[in-house]
This record gives sequence, structure tokens and C-alpha cells, in this order.
Amino acid sequence: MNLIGDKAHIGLIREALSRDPNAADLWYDLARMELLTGNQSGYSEALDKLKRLTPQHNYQIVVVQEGAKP
Amino acid sequence: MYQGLIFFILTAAVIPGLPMGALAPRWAVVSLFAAYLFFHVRISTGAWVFLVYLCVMAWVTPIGYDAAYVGWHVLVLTILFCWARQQASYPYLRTRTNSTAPASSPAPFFMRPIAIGCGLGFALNSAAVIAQYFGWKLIPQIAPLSGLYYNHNQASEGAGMVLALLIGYRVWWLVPGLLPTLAVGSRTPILALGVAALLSLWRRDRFLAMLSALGFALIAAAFTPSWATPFQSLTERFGVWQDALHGLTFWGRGLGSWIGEFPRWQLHSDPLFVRYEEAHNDYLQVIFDLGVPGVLLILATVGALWRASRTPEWYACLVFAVMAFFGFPLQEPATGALLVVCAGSLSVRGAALLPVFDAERCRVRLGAAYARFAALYSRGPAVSAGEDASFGSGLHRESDWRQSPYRPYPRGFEP
Repeated sequence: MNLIGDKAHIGLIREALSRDPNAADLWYDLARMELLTGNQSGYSEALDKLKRLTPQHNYQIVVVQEGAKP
Repeated sequence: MYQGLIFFILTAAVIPGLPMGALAPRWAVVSLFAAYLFFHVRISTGAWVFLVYLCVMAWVTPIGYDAAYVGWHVLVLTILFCWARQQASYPYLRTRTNSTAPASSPAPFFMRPIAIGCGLGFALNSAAVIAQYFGWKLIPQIAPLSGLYYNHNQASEGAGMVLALLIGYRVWWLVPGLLPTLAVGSRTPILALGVAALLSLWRRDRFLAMLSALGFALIAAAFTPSWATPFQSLTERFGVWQDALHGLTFWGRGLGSWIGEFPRWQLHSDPLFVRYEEAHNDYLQVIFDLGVPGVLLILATVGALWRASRTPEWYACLVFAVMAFFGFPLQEPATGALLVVCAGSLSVRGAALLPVFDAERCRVRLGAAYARFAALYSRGPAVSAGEDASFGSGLHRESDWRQSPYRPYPRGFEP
């Protein structure tokens, strides 16, 4: 099942985060999905929370060309 | 001997294929037993106060599910504690009224079957471990050679406590059955059993105890380089404990709040990939959840147990106390249930608190301290106590307990 870009799944993750607000992996997935769906404010909010939970990491947006090797 | 059967199921129950296939059925067994006991055991006022306090602490926990999960386990274990305390009070009363038996060592008529039941459960686990060593794969495992436990560390922690009980009750025929489980598990139970053995030896011969401690340390130092990563798990634990210290508050963060709240301070490991469900130190986790009242609770428990008489249950509690520094035996059904049952029986048999409120008993002890009155006060053959005497063999009549503030029988079950 491909979750990326699925707004319905964004709702599911937000619901899970409302019950477990310190789950870094959920914030990471939410930030990624918000970015792919183009929701700038949602992305900033999720990234801000993610950075507070994982200060040992730096995050950056990487644009991958279609067909390029990861 | 239903106690032995229940603890056998508790230590051996597993449902392969079920999520949490080792934990869930065991908590179910303890819960069903506690549900039955709830209507047959007197829950003391102190236990009710403790439970009400925990309800308040559960209310402030940010994640309700975690509070309910931990709260249910605490409720079940509290009922088991009250049951063990009540069970242990029966022989206490009998030995006090029976002049031929020594009052200081009542027979643990219900702990021996429990020790044997647990021993049989761990012997079955050892058989599964040996079968897994030769390729048997019916039961899933998250660590190799875990037997019926999914994780060999939890199995060995339980086996450590049971081994202390079996040695204490001289049930030698069951001891070999526990060794495979202990051999493939965590190092902590070995350390805890070593501490228990040293303390036991210390009471008999201090020089030999110190010599044994030195030998124990030398053997450990000799074996340490042969382990692939001898201090990796310890370093990881230190990191968790160091992070957790930043999250401590005076009143605590709520019952069962650890798993939800700890990632806020998790710096020594990556919260993106690692979620600590336990602190790997039960004391620290209790303090994180309950704050300073949790510290007082731990100190009161340790203090009361320290003053209790050195019975096999006392050594099992000591093994638990050492293991709780590096693991989470309080949160496992087998080790948690064994702890509360041992502590419950010690709370009566050890007479740590009861004689304080038992004026007659104190009087006998103080009186016995004076040599010339010893025969008079300590059931000596020279002076026989009269029927109405407040000392000697006539001290505790069968009807005395009805006037006592401490009721050894549950209401409705008085003989």
C-alpha cells in the first residue's frame, strides 16, 4: 500500500498524533506527506515538532528526478 | 494446591501467533485469578488508599490507554499482594496459638506449592529452549533461545527468582530444570543470585563471603573480554537513564506516562527509530511516573522488606530488587506476580510491622530480655502460664484474634 500523497492517510496520522504527540516517526511521516501534497503550513508545523523531538538530526528537502537512482 | 497450578500456568502459558503471545495470556491468567480473589480477599485500607492515589496519577497521564494498561496491572498485583498477606496470616495465627511450634518461623504452607509450580513452568521453558537449540521453530522469538517467553531475558529473570525460592525450600530436584533458561538469558539474574548468595553467606561467615565476592569478581573479569560487546547494553541503559533524569518532576508525570513522554528527552538514542517502552530500571520508571511519592513508596517498601526475616521469599525479593536496577521485572506478569506474593507473605511472616501493634508480643520479647524472668515470660517449663495469664503459653487463645485490630480471616470466613 502506497501511503505517500494520500490525504486520507494524513488524517489517520494526525489522529494517531493526537493520542501520541511525541512519536517522532509519525511526525516525520506527516511532514513528508504534507510536503508531497503541497501543504506548506502543515509541513512547517510537522517539521518544527520533528526538529524539537530529534535535535540530533538535520532535515533537508531532496528532489529526486524520475528514473534517477536513489 | 491450586496456587501451584495457577503459577505453573502463569510461567508457561503461551499462544503462538497471537501478538504479545507470551505476555497477553499470562496477564489474562493473573487477571482472572485476581478477579476471583477480589470477592474473597479483604483489600486492606492501605491498599485502597494506594489504588485511589494511583487513580489520581492515572488521571493526569497524557495518554489514557497507557494509564489504563499500567493501572490494570497494578490493580491486579495489589489484589495478589492482599491475597498473599491473608494466606500468610493463617499459619502465623496457628503458630501463635500452638505452644509447640516456634512463633518466629511459621510454616509457609502456600509458598512452597507456588515455588514448585513456577519451577515446573520454567523447567518446561528450559525444555523448549533445548528444543529450539536443535531447530524447533513452533514458537516465534524476538531473541534466540527464548523458549516460551519470546525474549530470553524475561525468562531468565523469572527463573532467577524461582531458583532462589527452590533453593530456600530445598526443592533440589527442580533446580537443574532452571539452568538452561538461566544459561541463555540475561546476565542480571546471575548477578542478582550472586548478591543473594553473598548476603546469605555473610550471615554465616563474613570472611568466606568476602572471599567469594572476590572470586565472583575475578571470574566475571575473566569472562568479560570473551563477550562480543560486553558493555554495549549497559552504555545504552546509562544513556536512557541520563535522558530520563531531565524529565523527572516532583509529582511525577502520571501513571504509565513513560512510553508517551520519554521521547521528549531522548537524546542519547534516536527517537525516530527507537521507542523505549521501559526505562530498563524499574525504580527510575516509578519515580518518572509518580515523582517524590514514588520515591517514598520505594523507600518504604525496601525498608519494610529489609527488616523482614530472611526467608526464601526475602531472597527472591532481593533477586528482584537487583534485577530491577537493569531491567523491568515489575512489568512482566510472572516476575511481578512472584514479587507481590513474596512481599505479601513477608509483610506478615517477617513481622516487620505487625508486632509494633501487638503489645502482648512486644511484652514477651522485652520480658525475655531479663534473664531471671526469662522462664516466666518465654514459655519456660518452670512456670506454666495460667488460663488467664497475659504471658506464656496461655497468651493467645483462639478467641483473641476477634478482639485484635488485625483480622487474619476475611469477613464471612471466620472459623
